[in-house]
Amino acid sequence: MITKLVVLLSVIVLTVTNCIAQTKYEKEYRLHQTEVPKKALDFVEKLGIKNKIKWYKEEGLDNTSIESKTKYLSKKYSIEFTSKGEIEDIEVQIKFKELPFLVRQNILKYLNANYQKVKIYKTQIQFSGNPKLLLNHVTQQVFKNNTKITTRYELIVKTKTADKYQKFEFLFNNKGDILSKALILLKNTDNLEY
Amino acid sequence: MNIKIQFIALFLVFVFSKTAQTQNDYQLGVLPVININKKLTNNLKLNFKTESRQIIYKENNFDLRSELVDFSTIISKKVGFNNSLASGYLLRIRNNNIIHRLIQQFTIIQNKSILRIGHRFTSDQTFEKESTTFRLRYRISGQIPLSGESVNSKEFYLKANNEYLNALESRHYDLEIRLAIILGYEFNDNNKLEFGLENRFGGFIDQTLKNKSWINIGWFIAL
Repeated sequence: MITKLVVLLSVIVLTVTNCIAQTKYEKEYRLHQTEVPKKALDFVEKLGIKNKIKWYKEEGLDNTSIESKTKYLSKKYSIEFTSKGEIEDIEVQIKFKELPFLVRQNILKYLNANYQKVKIYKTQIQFSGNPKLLLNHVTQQVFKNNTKITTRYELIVKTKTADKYQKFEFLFNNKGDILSKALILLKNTDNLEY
Repeated sequence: MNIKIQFIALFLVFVFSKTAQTQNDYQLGVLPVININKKLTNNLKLNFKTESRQIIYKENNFDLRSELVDFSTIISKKVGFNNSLASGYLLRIRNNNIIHRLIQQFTIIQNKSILRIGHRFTSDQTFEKESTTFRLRYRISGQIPLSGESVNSKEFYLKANNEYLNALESRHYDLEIRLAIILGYEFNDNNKLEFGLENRFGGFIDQTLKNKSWINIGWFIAL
């Protein structure tokens, strides 16, 4: 009984800690192909993408990653690697209405319950898991639930609460339940306004 | 990035020299601007701007002098995810005369991938001793980073402005079109320096085309 209680409490604490808004800080630089780890280059080559691939180095508060961005079969792809070239995840930009109905409903239920007004700017489906399975999964272009692949949804949303406008990056699981959110610092636009 | 900067520098030199060669009544000056912004509570923001016009070249002569100085204060309120409404007052000192201007403004900021677009709709009323001028203005601005997908600290960016000014003074209507290309450098998100060239074309209605070029030097500070 006590063990169950401890496990339950740990899960609650972890979930709550995860869902507390972090501040998202990222700075990215363009990378030349020669600066990209071979492992990452090999992975992208196996996707057989013919379009131009742009490479970036992303510096966050705690970690540095390598990201490649391209268009593949008319969709925007973002493939993220560790600084050593290990695949982290593949993100495909889709329209919010392309999400499964129940996922969409869950996400909207969460957003509407927590904010007065929301505007979804970007929706990405995120795949992570075993590199070989990931490669097969993405090249087959079947974005349905695959139990061996972790599927998540990343949304960039502008929100309004009590006269406060903010921008967040939300991560939802394959059922549309909130996993985490990070506050995106809004860029200063004074030089475009005045 | 270096190639891009070299290209922009060459382009600015080309535009400037070409305009100077072809215009007899060509006027060139410098517009130094200091723009200070302070965020307040309740989505309010205060903008203070001081701008001076320094003439360098006018009527085929080098004529180095100060033409005017402006001081303005604008208070704006965010009224939507990307929109702000603003209102302000400008004080202009020209030839020891004081001119007053009231300003009303609506801005929209859009993010389109790496491009950031600003739309500014302004109406203003300028009160001088002998006359009052009413203007309706629209300006579109575009900004792109010169490295990466967004402008970060210690990075350059390119900005372009295009503005249309409709002015009505003593029943006389005129249109002025402004075009500017600007190279900016972001020290950090609250501190930006811009340098560029702006061309102002006027006199479309009475067919006496006027062309003025201004070297823009802008410093944007957020407190």
